[in-house]
Amino acid sequence: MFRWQTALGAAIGLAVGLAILALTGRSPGEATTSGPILSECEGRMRELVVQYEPSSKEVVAAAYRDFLGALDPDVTVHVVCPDRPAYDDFVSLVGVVRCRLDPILTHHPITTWSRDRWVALTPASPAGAITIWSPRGESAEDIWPARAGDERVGEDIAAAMGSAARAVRSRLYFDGGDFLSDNDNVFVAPRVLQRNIQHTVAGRKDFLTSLATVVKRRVILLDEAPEHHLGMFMASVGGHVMLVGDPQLGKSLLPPQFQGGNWPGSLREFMDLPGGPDFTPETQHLFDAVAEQCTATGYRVTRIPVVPAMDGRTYLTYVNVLLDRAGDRRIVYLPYYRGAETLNSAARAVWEQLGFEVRLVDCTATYRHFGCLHCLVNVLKRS
Amino acid sequence: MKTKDLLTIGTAALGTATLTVLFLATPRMTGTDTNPTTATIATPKLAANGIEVTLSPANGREFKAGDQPEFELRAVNTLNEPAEVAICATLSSSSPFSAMSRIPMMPATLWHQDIEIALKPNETKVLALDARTNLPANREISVSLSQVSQAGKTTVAGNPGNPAAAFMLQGSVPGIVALRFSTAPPKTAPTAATTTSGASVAIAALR
Repeated sequence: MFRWQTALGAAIGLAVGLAILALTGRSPGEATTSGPILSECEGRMRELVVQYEPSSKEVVAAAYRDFLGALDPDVTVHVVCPDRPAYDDFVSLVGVVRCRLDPILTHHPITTWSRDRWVALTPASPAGAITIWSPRGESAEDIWPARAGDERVGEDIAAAMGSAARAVRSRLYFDGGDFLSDNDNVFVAPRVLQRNIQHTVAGRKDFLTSLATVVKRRVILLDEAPEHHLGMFMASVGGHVMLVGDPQLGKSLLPPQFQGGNWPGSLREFMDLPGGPDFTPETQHLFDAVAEQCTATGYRVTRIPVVPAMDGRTYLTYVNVLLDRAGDRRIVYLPYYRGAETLNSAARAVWEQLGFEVRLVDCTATYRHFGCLHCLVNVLKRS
Repeated sequence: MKTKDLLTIGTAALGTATLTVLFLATPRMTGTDTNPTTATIATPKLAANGIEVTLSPANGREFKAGDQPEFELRAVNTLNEPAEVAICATLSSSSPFSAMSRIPMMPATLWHQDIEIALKPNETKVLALDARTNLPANREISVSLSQVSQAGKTTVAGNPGNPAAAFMLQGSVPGIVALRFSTAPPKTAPTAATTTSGASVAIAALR
């Protein structure tokens, strides 16, 4: 029989439990709330996440070494690895770094691409938890065991971080790289609508409403865009300035032996791009359409060289960057590719003209696997 | 107050406090933007010109590598007047470039067919579609339905690998992925969203 002693005890217990949560910086309301999606161009990077799987060592070694080696001591990098030997391998791979490394061991297969696994939503209150917002599922997980493991990474990170983070599974399918956010807007790749329409949402309006509810910023769904993640062809740099890739600009910067139509064989060999560079009008149109939509949205657009390959996946891109701040200084961690020096220099000049301090990251071994620096590193927290 | 009362109060307080902290502070997967475990839409449907079009494997068949897939296309005129629509069905496959690649390769079109449908008021037609191609092994397979615009071009990504089709313009009728399944050896049934067990399988396989 329920007695007054039990009721009193339950009340005391509830009060004690809530007091414990309050003292540890967690309130019950935060179990269902979060702030806006984390901007990719504002604030100083404080906590980052990378994934490392030893079989991808050759793909990521130079990029991780350059990038992590340039980070300051007050930055924490959570390193998601399948097991301890993988983490030890990672530590020996990157060498001496000043940033703090924090292993998160999953005990299941993963890929080495962190960006697409989840999106960080800022805490609803200063003492609240970061929300790690994971998609409903991963692409191709039926035929790709590591990708099936990737699906669990959001939970792995939240579990490792205790009350500082919580993992939330979305009703929507997406890759983290399908979004590009700044302080005002979230740009969304058209393929996200394609993945969800008539499956998780009835139509375009439902999709936009559902997304805006979570990200808490204005959602701008791109009408037309290259069939890739946004970070491959555009970057919001703050102050309503958008960098958008331009294949024609890339073409104009190719070495002389690759210019013109008399060297089709040579052009195909440029930088080992599968099928050669894609300078077709159709592809150029997709990049231009992104630029036009950004302009129509109120952004000042600056074009930057890009060389997409005919496979539609491999890009020599200079917008796949990480943006940071140190006081008044704006810093860009910018990919470069050995063998594409003219392009590298031109891209660097664009960033410098925008007022950025450029820190170069060697992505020569990375781009052939359809991603680059921004795709490897996810940002959990900025100050 | 007796010792027994204090013991009861203490036990209840301890239990409640523990449950409160565990329930509210433990990191866990939650679905704030609705429950992710259930399919919002069981049967993907392309709606254009008052006609609703769905696709399912013929006879509820489960496809595997090497099969030549056959489909049933069901068109329902929801209007009280005649209606017609031109649609395109596209069968595509994709696979990882390597275990280390960031995303799968661009989808390759295995087969596509333009279909013109004319229906009387409230009429329903079921059409048989024979893909006449063998499904490759270890691939993600999708079948898209999209409306063919008056300009004769699909209005949406019937084949995401085709840049000319890879857009979803405002004001156009968005295309849909009607079916998606894999030809990985041991598992994954075809994901006819209209089959009995299809709802959950379809969502599990939709990526």
